Amino acid sequence: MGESKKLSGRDLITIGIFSAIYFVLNLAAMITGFVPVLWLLLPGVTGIVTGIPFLLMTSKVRKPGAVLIMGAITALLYFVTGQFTVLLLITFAIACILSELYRAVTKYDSSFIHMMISFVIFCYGMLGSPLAIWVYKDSFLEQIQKNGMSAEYVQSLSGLISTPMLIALCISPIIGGVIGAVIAKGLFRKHFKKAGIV
Amino acid sequence: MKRSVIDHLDPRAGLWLLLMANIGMFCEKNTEQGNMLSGIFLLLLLVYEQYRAAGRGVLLLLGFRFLLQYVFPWCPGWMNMVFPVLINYTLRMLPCILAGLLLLRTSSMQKMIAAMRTLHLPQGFIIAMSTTLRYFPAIKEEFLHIRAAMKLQNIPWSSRLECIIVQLMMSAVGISDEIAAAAVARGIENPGKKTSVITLRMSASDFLVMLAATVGTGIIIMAG
Repeated sequence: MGESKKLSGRDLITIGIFSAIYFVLNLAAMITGFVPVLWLLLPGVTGIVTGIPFLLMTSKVRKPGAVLIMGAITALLYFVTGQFTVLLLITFAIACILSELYRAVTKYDSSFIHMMISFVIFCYGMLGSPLAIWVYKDSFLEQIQKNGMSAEYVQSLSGLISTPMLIALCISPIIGGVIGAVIAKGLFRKHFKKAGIV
Repeated sequence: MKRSVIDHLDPRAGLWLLLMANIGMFCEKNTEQGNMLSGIFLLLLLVYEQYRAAGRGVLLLLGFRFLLQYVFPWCPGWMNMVFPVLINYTLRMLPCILAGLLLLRTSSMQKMIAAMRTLHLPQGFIIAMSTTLRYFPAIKEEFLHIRAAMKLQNIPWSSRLECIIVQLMMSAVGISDEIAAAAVARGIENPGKKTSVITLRMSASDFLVMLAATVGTGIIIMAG
């Protein structure tokens, strides 16, 4: 394509619209977090749910900055609604930049594998939300104990906030991201190719 | 429009408050600090006449504290595994949620965009962001249409999710082309400086509120 690599107004609007869908699905994934185990695996759940808008957006806008803008919008929206902690902001920013870099290195290739990998990297951004429990662990447990919980209970809770669980948390974006991407691929093949969108 | 001494919050001041809430939450060490921090933002909600939001915040705070103090110690173990974690987490987030509510309730989208411009955010980001904000009502509308269509056709539950997602994406692609055409026709790609109907000005009350929140948060952090 002889097009310039600068984002046009059309690209920006595409990014904006898919960011809206991404945000809504992301929020839906957050709500499943009321089941604690799912919350601890939040990055994975988000990956499964949000694969479609991300892949569709990245396949339509193959220029630098697309993923960054999408991430920045999501971050700002979460920040404004007050659900964004500094920690989440940091992981989110790192994930967006890495994902963007990966796309730059692969020259914004729209083959499935490259898109999937950039998506998995992007998924790591949500790591910050459950990670907060590990980071604030001590003050968190202390607070619970002060609230009149038995020492036994606090013990079992700190057992849940364990290293194996942390490892599971860190692997979850890969699994969730791959599942999400595969679902997206299936739908692309079944519907969007026919409609001539992808 | 109602005029009183304090009737509007500049979005930039709102963002500052949000930042304070985040910093306060980050440095929080014990329960009292959290309560006080939530208290500051409840007070601010009252100052800006957001009584319902403030009321809900108070109910949430008191209700959760009550549950943690009196109900959960009596509950069976499995329940204790699940809920206190969430409740503690929500309580910790409460100052941020309240500050976010304050910002959302007191400023319109146009004001937000004007604020983003004065903060010198990149133009591309602002365009994408405003598209996102405008698209949320459209998602809801699309969703209702899709649901109605699914009811008419008696689509089985098992394939409903797929129907919703695929339709939503299809319409998103279509709409993005339409909006883009309309926006280009109206000069979105004009490299010149954009103007705005709204002129934002930080008033004395904005500075006062920012100062109060900053000092309050600072004292709470120091006290911990």
